[in-house]
Amino acid sequence: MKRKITDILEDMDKLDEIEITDELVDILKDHFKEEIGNNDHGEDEQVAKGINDLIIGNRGKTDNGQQDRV
Amino acid sequence: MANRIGFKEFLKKADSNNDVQLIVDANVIIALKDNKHRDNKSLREFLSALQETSKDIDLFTTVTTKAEFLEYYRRKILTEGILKLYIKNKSEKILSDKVKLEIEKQVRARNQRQNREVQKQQNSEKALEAQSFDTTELDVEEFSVDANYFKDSEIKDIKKVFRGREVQNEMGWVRFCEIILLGRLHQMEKHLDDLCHYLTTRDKESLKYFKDEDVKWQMATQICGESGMGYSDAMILNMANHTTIKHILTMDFDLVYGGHISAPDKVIITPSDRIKGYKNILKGV
Repeated sequence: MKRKITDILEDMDKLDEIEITDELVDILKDHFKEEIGNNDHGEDEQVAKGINDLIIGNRGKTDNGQQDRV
Repeated sequence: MANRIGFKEFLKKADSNNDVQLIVDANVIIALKDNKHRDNKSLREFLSALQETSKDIDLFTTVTTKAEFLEYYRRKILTEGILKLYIKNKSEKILSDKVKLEIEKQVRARNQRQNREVQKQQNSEKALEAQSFDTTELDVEEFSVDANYFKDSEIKDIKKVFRGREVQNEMGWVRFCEIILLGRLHQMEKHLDDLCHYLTTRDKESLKYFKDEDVKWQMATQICGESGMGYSDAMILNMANHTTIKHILTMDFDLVYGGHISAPDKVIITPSDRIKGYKNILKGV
């Protein structure tokens, strides 16, 4: 049976939520076990700000109505 | 007669007794999907209203567009997954410092791209104001895949440093992709296949609309060369010209421009507020 466009878009939206699962945490801890513990764990404020911006996403201004392409 | 029509005008002509067939480009599908896109809301409202006012809607696109969309989605999910890893790593160490530093490096590169885009847009606005153009009604939001998500080369650089020091089997990156990306990409492909028919003679629904089944690649080259438009858009116009489907839905000026030159029998549907601007640009063509 044919689905409505709006229903398909809703299903697409549901795929967006990304969670770092315990399984992935364990895999990566094991993967990097030799490195983890030997390194410092400093914070970079400038980059942290950039990361927040990246998650929020860019919403700049238009350029003659022309869309950016992939 | 101009072969362009705005959303509002198209909706006024919609009829509950008639089916609507629309050819869409990658930008439309990305805009529909991505809530960061400035056209996300207007496109969803348009299709929702069209769904209510017409008997049925069928969307058509090309297989090239499918590849473009899935490539966009790969970059989006990998970017967001990598950033989630970075954030998680702040509270619980799960990455090597080499990976952490590489992510920071790529975020800086992304920030520089964003700054350049903002600068470019500010310069464009200044130029318009210098010509006494009223910029108060310009759209204030823009979306760029490159500004928001890591580029392919940046993802590759992060992938390269994912190698563990003592790892016999290279599983860190592969398991990350398996958990974060693989299932989502398959699901998204399935949803996309539900959303659109692909314009090939192998697709039963599309075949009904082909007036000439002998599609020649050289004709896309001709269209590309006529106005210098992107090849992917030229392929959309080429397929459109081989079918009886009359309407092409796009947010991309290049397709409006190229459609005017290379597909004058088709009607390009685009946001109503951009029609006037396009009309001015196309006046002398």
